[in-house]
Amino acid sequence: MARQGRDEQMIGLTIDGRPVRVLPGATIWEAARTLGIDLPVLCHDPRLEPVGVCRLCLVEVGEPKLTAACVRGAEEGMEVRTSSERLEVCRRGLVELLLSDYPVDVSRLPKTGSDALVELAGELGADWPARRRSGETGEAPGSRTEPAGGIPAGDGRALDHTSKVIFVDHQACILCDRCIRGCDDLQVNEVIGRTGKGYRTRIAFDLDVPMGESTCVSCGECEKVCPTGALSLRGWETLPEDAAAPGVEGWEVL
Amino acid sequence: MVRSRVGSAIHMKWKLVRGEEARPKYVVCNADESEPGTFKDRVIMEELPHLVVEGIALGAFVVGAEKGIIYIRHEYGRAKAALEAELDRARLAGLLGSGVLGSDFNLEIEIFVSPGGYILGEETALLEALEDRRGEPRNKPPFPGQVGLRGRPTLMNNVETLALVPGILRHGVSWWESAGRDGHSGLKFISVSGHVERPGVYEIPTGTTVAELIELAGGVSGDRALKAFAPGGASSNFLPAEHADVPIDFATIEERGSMMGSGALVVVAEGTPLLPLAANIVRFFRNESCGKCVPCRLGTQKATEMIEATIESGAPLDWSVIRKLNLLLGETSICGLGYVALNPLISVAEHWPGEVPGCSAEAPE
Ligand code: SF4
Ligand code: SF4
Ligand code: FES
Repeated sequence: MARQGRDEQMIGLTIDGRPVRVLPGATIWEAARTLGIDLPVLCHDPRLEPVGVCRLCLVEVGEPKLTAACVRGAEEGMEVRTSSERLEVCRRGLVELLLSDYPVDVSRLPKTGSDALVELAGELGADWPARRRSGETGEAPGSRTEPAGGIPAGDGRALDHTSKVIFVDHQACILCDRCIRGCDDLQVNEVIGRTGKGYRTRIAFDLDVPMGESTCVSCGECEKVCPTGALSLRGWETLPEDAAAPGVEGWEVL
Repeated sequence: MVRSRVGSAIHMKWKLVRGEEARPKYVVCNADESEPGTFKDRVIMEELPHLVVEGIALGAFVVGAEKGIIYIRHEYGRAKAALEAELDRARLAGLLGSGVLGSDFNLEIEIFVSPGGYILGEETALLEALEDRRGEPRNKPPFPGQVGLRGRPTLMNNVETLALVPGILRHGVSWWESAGRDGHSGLKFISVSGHVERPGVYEIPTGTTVAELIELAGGVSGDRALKAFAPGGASSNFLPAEHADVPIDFATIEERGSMMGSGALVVVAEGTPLLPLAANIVRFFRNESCGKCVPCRLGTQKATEMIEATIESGAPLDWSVIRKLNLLLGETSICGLGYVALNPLISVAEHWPGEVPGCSAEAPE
């Protein structure tokens, strides 16, 4: 009986023509997952409340605008399309936009073997010259990026060497909000937030101090949820000899 | 009968919020008027504050709200003072407070001064600011009518809309509909700015043409000819002078490829280069982007850099990249700022291709 009551509440929709039933409150992204359809995501992680900011998971639902599957609730009778020429062009374009500000000298890849943005770039065929060299100290800010798909490159954001555990490369941050939700909501340390507006938005520790001077407890959650090279674990080989010395490079350009 | 678009929009919104069961409900008057060239709401609040307060009270009564909030732009000190005086008057007259006019209807209205910039005029960013968070638009749906302030049903209208309601209720729908001209219904406040002799706020019968409104405002300044106009503020497409015969109403302006937008006519005289004007508008949107979503945070910056480089060097714009950015902004942004950010540039390229190096070789769209 209880079972039946539950079934009656279920929401029925189709995704790429395949019917699926989900519990009320489920998102389109979750519904797609139950069918084994993996939508590209950058800002979403199933452990976190979705925010829908990277726009990669866009799908068509028969409305004039595309909608972000990670935040949009499934609705009865909805007909969702997860792939089309239009979606492909938009997803590739979004990735190119992000890459045009992304350091070509990818710092996360050599350490963990994964960089969600660079992987997506490969999958979507984005036009971008990744140089897969190792090393986070690389070049000074100002020459770290390349145009992507004809979109002019931007650079000049800070590197923060102050934490003994986590290396922060603001230039590689795509403002996906995952570290913020990981720090604030999962670990309840509430160290990370965003500051600034528009193109000058960036993550900030406490009231915008270098990470090593913040109330960070080095739990590592932010590094773990970060999909890019913006937050990476400092390897022993890169620990500065004089830990106080390197400080923050290019802080003033922010 | 010709129904006015404003009328049916009010009707549908109020009906939706009235039908919602969650309590409490709120009425928010969006007085965060910030679109470049737009200042009609300021004048309405300064000179006709009683209509605004009455409109909010009527809205609250209809939808079943006991709390009204006027969300006002922080630069609007005089308008705020006028509204405060009006609220005091209404309280003394028993039109606000508990048991309005001896009934069991309670209503409080407060003024909230916007802590931020342009984007807080977007209805859900406004709600976020009211809730003490970063002023960033929410993903929609849900819409504020169902899930608004603190998750409750919220009726949100702008100043002009609310100020119109008392008049329509008092004189009747047919009065309102016959107030327009040539089959158009209603009256419209328009902010007129740019190259005219007497910029200001004009209340016109809808159906008045752009050319007639420019005449009302003293004509194009300096005895020049009209080159272009934007009929609905910074985010509306520019139209060339030959469209000045368009009657001012929502549908008629859309038929010509622009929009009524924020009710702001920006007039551009012959001899004015349009690319720097378009660049100025794109730069404005870049500056005012909240930075929440990828297409707008990055796209407006990249487009601004590209246009500025072209203006500086005269080198052609890579139009295929501009088109790509425009597509991403229009299709993938969270809110209207991103959707429209490149519209003015695209319209300049469409109507004056010779002024946009790089676009003349191919059709812009
Ligand atoms: S540092 Fe990483 S997780 Fe945090 S917002 Fe930037 S890209 Fe996302
Ligand atoms: S479109 Fe622009 S203003 Fe709107 S949410 Fe996205 S970044 Fe913010
Ligand atoms: S994954 Fe849905 S918007 Fe980022």
